[in-house]
Amino acid sequence: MDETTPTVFVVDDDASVRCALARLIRSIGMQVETFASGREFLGCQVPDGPACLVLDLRLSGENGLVLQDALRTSERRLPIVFLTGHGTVPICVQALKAGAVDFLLKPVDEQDLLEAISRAIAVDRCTQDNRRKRAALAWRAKMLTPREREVMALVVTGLLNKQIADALGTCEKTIKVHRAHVMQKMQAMSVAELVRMADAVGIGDAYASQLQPLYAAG
Amino acid sequence: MATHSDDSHAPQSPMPRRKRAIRRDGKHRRMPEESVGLLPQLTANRPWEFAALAHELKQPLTAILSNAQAARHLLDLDPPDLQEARTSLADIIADARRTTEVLRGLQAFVATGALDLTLLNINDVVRETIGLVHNNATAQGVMITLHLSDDFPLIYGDRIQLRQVLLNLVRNAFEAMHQVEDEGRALIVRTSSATPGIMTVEVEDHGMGVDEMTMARLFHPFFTTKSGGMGLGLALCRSIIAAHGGWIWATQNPDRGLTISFTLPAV
Repeated sequence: MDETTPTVFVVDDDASVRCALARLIRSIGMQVETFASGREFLGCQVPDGPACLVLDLRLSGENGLVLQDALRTSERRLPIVFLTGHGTVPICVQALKAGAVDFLLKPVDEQDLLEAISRAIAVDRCTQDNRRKRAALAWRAKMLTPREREVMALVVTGLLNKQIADALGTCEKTIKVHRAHVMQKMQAMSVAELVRMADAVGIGDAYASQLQPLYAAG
Repeated sequence: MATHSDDSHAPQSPMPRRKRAIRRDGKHRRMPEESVGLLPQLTANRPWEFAALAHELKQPLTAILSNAQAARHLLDLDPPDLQEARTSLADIIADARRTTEVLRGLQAFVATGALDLTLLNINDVVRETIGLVHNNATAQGVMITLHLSDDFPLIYGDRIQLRQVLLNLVRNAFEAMHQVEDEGRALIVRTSSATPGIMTVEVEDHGMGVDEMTMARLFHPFFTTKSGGMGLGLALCRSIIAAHGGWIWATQNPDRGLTISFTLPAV
């Protein structure tokens, strides 16, 4: 399957609705996979490319909202567009609060459906992008030595090299060397960027609070 | 442990408010039909069924709309995908037919509004119904036992519609027993008058039985566990019994299978 072509997963227990929606979505150039139940869907392998889920709210034998919950805790959280033949406000609110991208009533016009799908795919692209960036950063952070991690944690709290040296019980020159290595390994162009990276990979607060008492005296 | 379906509440509609017009010679007279249109009658008297109907219609309509809009795109392609467009149209036709069937089934509900009431012996109706399915029973190896009470079996009822109810229940029972081994296929029909003024009819099968979730939705219109079924059978039964002023409910047998019971006011 092409990495960049979006895939739409359609889950609806009515066979002719499933088929018709798939045909429509395919006819405008997107890939579709259909499932008759949430269980079937959860058992499938979701591709890496951008994707979203079009889900009937009341699947026979199980609730669409229950599936939404199950998906929230799974690794690959697909954005959801709900479709329903029922249309009560409370359920709609519940679904949207739980993070659904949209909530559409059946029979659904192609405009509304395709618009919602576009939005959902965009959300997924963004999420996947962020996930990849975070993974890349984590990989780089793994390359840091324990000492370099300590230095990085203190650099991003805004301490000067001298203060960091005092906190770690070493000299400023050594700190400068460590700092340079950190910037290089993390591929950060500036301290500001390093701070953002530290946030993303979770280096920072824990360390800093541990070492704080050590430099406060200085 | 026996569990009840959630329809063991008050009858769906009150006793027919029309006056009973049974002539002294025992012949019947047709009750005046209600001259209200279909929609008000449905929404006012059976809002629940209307909601179920609306939902059932939304499914094929959704498919029809999406298929039609897809066909347009397919024809706009360069070159047009005629094959897929044709399949799309075929599906539209199938769904339009499906919708027609749903509406046809609905007419049965409308028909129950007019009851042809006569004084009748419910035991006779049971015997007639069993007579109708006798051949099937033999063919499927179903043992039918009748326990028909002699106490006050006279009721006011629409013979044809009550036979329809019993036929439905008996057929369901046969279906339930399909999967069961030969020795276990037993169908028992009982009539009794444990409570004075009320006739109770029970259709007991020793078939597969149903799960909790199905129990709760047994009498819902358009609910079915059969592929290709429309799910109106039991809902229709409920409608007919309610129109007679009785109730209908289902209980799970201690060993296996279901017992569907309904009551009718006795004379």
